[in-house]
Parts: sequence; C-alpha cells; structure tokens
Amino acid sequence: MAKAHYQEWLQKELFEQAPLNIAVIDPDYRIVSSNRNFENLFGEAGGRRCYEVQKGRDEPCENCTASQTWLDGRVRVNEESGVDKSGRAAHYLVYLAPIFAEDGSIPYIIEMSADITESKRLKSEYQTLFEQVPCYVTVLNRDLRVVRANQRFREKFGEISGQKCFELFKRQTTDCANCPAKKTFADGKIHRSEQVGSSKDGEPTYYMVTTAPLSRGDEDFSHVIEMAVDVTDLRHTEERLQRARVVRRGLVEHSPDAIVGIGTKNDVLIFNPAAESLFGIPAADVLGRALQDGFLPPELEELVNARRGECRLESAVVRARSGEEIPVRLSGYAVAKDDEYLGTAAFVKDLREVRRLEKEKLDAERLTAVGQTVAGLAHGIKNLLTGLEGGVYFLRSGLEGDRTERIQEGWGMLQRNVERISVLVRNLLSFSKGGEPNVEVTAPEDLVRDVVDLYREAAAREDVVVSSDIPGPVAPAPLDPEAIHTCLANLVSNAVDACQMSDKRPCCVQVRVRDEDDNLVFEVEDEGCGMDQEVRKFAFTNFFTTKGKGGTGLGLLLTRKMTQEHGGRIAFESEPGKGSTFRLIFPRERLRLPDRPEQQGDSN
Amino acid sequence: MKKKLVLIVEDEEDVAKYLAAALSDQGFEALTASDAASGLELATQRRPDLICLDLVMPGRAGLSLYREMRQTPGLMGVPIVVVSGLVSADAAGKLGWDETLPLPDAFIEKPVNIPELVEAVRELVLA
Repeated sequence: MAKAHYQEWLQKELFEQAPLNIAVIDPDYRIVSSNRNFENLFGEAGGRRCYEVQKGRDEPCENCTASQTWLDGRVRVNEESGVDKSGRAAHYLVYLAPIFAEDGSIPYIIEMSADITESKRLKSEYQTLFEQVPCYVTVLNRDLRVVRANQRFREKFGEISGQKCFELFKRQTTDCANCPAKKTFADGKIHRSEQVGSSKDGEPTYYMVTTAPLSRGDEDFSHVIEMAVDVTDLRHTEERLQRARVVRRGLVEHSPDAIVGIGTKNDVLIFNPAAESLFGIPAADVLGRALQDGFLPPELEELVNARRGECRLESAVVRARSGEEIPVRLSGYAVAKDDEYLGTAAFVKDLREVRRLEKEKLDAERLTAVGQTVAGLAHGIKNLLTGLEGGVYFLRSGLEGDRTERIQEGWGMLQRNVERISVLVRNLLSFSKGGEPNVEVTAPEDLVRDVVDLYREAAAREDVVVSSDIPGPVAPAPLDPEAIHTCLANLVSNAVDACQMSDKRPCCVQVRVRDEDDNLVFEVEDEGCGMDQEVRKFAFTNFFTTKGKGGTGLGLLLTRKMTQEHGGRIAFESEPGKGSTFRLIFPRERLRLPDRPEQQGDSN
Repeated sequence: MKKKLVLIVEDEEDVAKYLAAALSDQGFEALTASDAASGLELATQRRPDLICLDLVMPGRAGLSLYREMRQTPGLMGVPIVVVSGLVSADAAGKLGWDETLPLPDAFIEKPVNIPELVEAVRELVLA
C-alpha cells in the first residue's frame, strides 16, 4: 500500500475505530462529520446542529463551551449531559479542540466525547450505598478528621465540621488506644475492632468497625473509609441474656432445694450444690453423664422417658450414694420450647428435717397430753380403786354376814373394775407408744365392714343400729390397718355410747368411707345424745370422759394421734340431742407408701 | 331414833354402791343419785341430813351442782362432804372452783377410807 494511501486509511480507521464519539462541527454548530460511535449513540447527524443531535434542543446551549473555543481557540474539557437517540439521559466527557486553518482562523471544532453514563450511574449507586448502607460510614484523613460521613452517621453522632473521629464517635479529646484507622494508615490493610461510642444524645453505642484504605489501587492513599455496624441492640439483648443467665445460675446455685436438670440424651446438665449434698455426689461426677438408675423415684424416670408432662410427688424417696433412702417432696416437668423437648427439670426438697420436726411435734403433743392429764388419770384410777375396794367391802361383808346378794354384787364390782383397769392400761400403752404406722396397701371398705361387724350385734341388743354406707368404690390406700381399725372402733364405740345416752330408739350409727377431692375420708355419724359446748371443748384436750362407767378418756386422743401419724386430721361436728359426726381425713398425697421389701434387703 | 338420811351423788355406779353400803352398815339411811339433775331433785324432795358429792362428773356437772346446792334456800345448812379423786387446789381450779364458793364441810379423798368418811359424816350430822 502506498504511503499516502496508508495515511488516508489510517486516519479514516482512527476516526471510525477510536472508542470515542467524534463529531466535527462548523461555526454554525452543524455537524459536518461524525464517526460510527457518535451515530450509534446519537443517531444520524449529518448536517444537523450539535445541540439538536446531542441534547434535543432547538437552540444553542446557554453555557456552550464550544462558543468560547471559537473565540479563543483553546482546548476545553467538560462534562455534559445529553439525550441519546432513544431519549435516555447520557453523560459524557467532552473534549473540544479547534482545528486551525492556515490563516489561523478556526473553520471547525472537533468534539470528542466519552460516554460516562455508566460511571455516573456507578457514582450515583455508590452515593446511595454510602448514604443508605445500614452502617455508620465515614472517610477519615491522616489527621483522623472526618471528611465525609453518611446520613446515618450524622443522625446518630451529629453533623460534621472537621472534627476528629474520636471527638464524634466517643466525645473524647484524645484518640483511642486500639484505633483501627491508625493501623490501616500504618499498614494499608483492613482492620476490625469493637468499640463503644457515645451518640450525640449521650447514649452508649456499641459498634463493630472495619477500616479500609481508600486507594485507587496504588499504595499511596490519603484517606481511610471506616464502616461501623451498630450492635447496640444486639449488645443489649446479650446483656439481658447474660444477666438472666447470672440470675438463673444464682437461683440454681443457691436454691436450698436440690435441682437436677436432665438433657435430651438423658445426661445430667444441672446438678446444684443442694443436689450434691442431698445425693452425696459431687457435680463433677455426674454432669454430662447419665444419672444412675434408682437415684430418682420411678415416676420421674418415667417422665424423663416420656419427654412430656409433669409430676408432683408430695412424698417420695430418693437414694443417696451412701444408699440412704431420703424422704423428699419432688416436682418434675418436661421442659419444651414450642414442641421441641429440651430436657427435664426436677426440684427435690429434702424432708428429713420436716419429718423429724413432725415427729418431734407429735411426741411433744403426746407428752403434753400425758402430762396435762395425769391428774385426770389419777382421778380415773382412784375411781377404779374405789370400785375395787367397794367390791372387796361387799365380798367381805357378804361373807361375814352370809349375805349372798352382797357376795354376788362384790364379785361383779371386782370383775368390772379389773376389766376397766386393763382397758385403761391397754389404751395408755398404745397411746404412749410412738413411731411410724405399720403401713400396707389396704382396702378402706374392708376396714369399715370389719368394724361394723364387730359392733353390730352387741349394739343391736341396745336397739342401736350400726351399719356401713359405702357409696362408691374407694381406691386402696397405704394405711396401718390395725391403727385405722382401732380409730374406727373408738369412734363407733363412742357413737354407740352416745346412742345409749339418748332416748331415741332405734338409734342409728353409720360408718362411711369415700374419696372426697384428694382425700380419703372415713366418717362415723350417730343420732345419739350429741355434745354440748362444754364436752366439745374437752373432747381432745384431756383424759376426759363422759361415760360414768367404762370410759378411759383416751379413745379420741389415741384416734387423733394415729390419724396424725398417717398425715391426716380428725374433725367433728355435734349438736346436743341430734347426734355427732366424726371424720378422719387423710390427704392421699400424704399417705406414705409402704417400705419396699428390696430396701430392707439392701440395708442388710 | 330416826336414821339420818345421807344423799350420795356419784356418777361412778360402783363407788356410789360402795359408799351407800358402807354408810347403811353404820346405821345411816343412804340414797344414791348418778347425775347432777337427779341429785338436785332428790336433795330438794327429801332434804337429806348430809350430802356426799363427787365434784368430778361429766362436764362441770359436779361443780355446778355444788354451787346450786349452796344457793338453794331449802338446802341451806345441809352439810356437804366432797368425795373426790382431785388431788390439788390446782386441779380444783381447772375444774372451775373459785374463791367465791364456800368451802365444803369436809373433804374425803378417793380411794375412800371408810372409817374416815363415817367419822366425818357422823360428826357433821350430830353437830
């Protein structure tokens, strides 16, 4: 190719291929020539005015830079906004250069523009990001002065006017020891740290900060961008959680009751000091391991296996490492969040002390009752002795005077009083005998029937009708059958006596048993003479008897004592002339289970 | 000479029988009542020469009867011998004895010493 030809080709190709929009305009602003890029962007331009083509205007632009170049012939660079051939906003950087004629005049100006729409868009996006990103964004210079800050920052920490970052972030007058910005300025690397600032309202503000050099890819940079994520809410939540954790730990650690937490794998998660002392096992020996079988009552083990529900045991037994069976009150429940099982918690109250106090109280009551009534007892014994002496007197005088009726009378008096002394001694012995009831699972109805059978015939001879009234089935209960039999027999005996003291014939005594709420209730009701206020007052407080012959004044005391030893109580109501009703009320949850035979085996 | 009449108010049947037999063997006429109500009735009807009374009877019946007898005009001047197993003033106080009550004419403790009782009764009746 000839050189001239090559030059022409080169110029044409340069004109067409340069990554610029190139147009040549004349002093009338007509585009006399334009390259392909230009036409791709703005459309066909030949002969049209530049402002029509590039801006869609009818007349020249107000601040037309080209018009100045026509005058002074200088090269100008400026940013322009226009409209492309599809009507979209276009941003471009314009380079205006005059083309000089040989006489120095300027027949044409060459306009070369680069499309910066994309970078404009990026810039705008960057701006939006800068302002809207949910962080506090600042740009610091090497003096640590904040030269830019986003809206979020300004709202939180106040407007910026050349303050240093620590003045704004922390209301401090000196920089921070662990300043990540200084580190970034020193090594050009990204640094992170956690900081506590103070908002413009003086509230503590926790944030995670990241500092990065603001460079254009070279090592030299004069600014650092600092992005801080506010973690105040998170921090508050964490603090609340932390506090709750500390409180919970404190409660668990200092609880006087043993607390055992069992996890989803049946492993022990919580074993507080009270549990350590109750079971005699250091927490370290059980935490994270499965609790050994037999330490906890079977009801709780069932609960752990069922992974749902709860149980309350008023009277249960746990086994310490030493093998000691410890009476406890226990409540356990499966812990779940929504439907997810998290574990089982058991709260165990050691009842040894309570049991000891209960026994002491019973002992004390018994001693008080015995003490209080020695005088009354003495009176009773003196009457019996007088009766015996009377018998002896009748016998002797009958024998001396050969009077048969006196001998018979004396013999009867001796027999009666000897019998009364033996009853008194028996009652006194069982009253002074303390200790646990001899409990076995017993059908309450059977006790009632036995007692009714015992009295029915003898009472019938006096026209007193003793009968049982059992309205429905009653669940078996752990009771000392002998003790309860004695209690019921005492009450029925009193009831029959009360009937004998009244004029009503026939006179009825009914013995009932039923479940009422969670109580097992025995009831003895009579239609006898009833008790006046005086008698009611003395019913339990003395070795008191209203029975001229035959009473020891111990029956009700004995009944109350045995009832209390079962965890129950005795109540009565009575009206003179109408009759009395005595009730033995046993809360089922306090009826203690019989000793398991294997326990006895263990202790041997 | 007409036999002196002694009323024995005693809820213990055997004790009442014993005292009645012992006193009648000693030449007295003995009547027995087993409770306070019949005791008061017999006392006002028969106006005995002496009353033997057990203070400790059901409720406070013995003591009430004692008080009532002391306040009944027809029984003024009838000596009352308290026969009781009570051992102390404290026990009497618990029973409801108070300072305003006149003391009994004699006090015989159970178990009863019969010669002592007869002696006391004789002295009071013949006085």
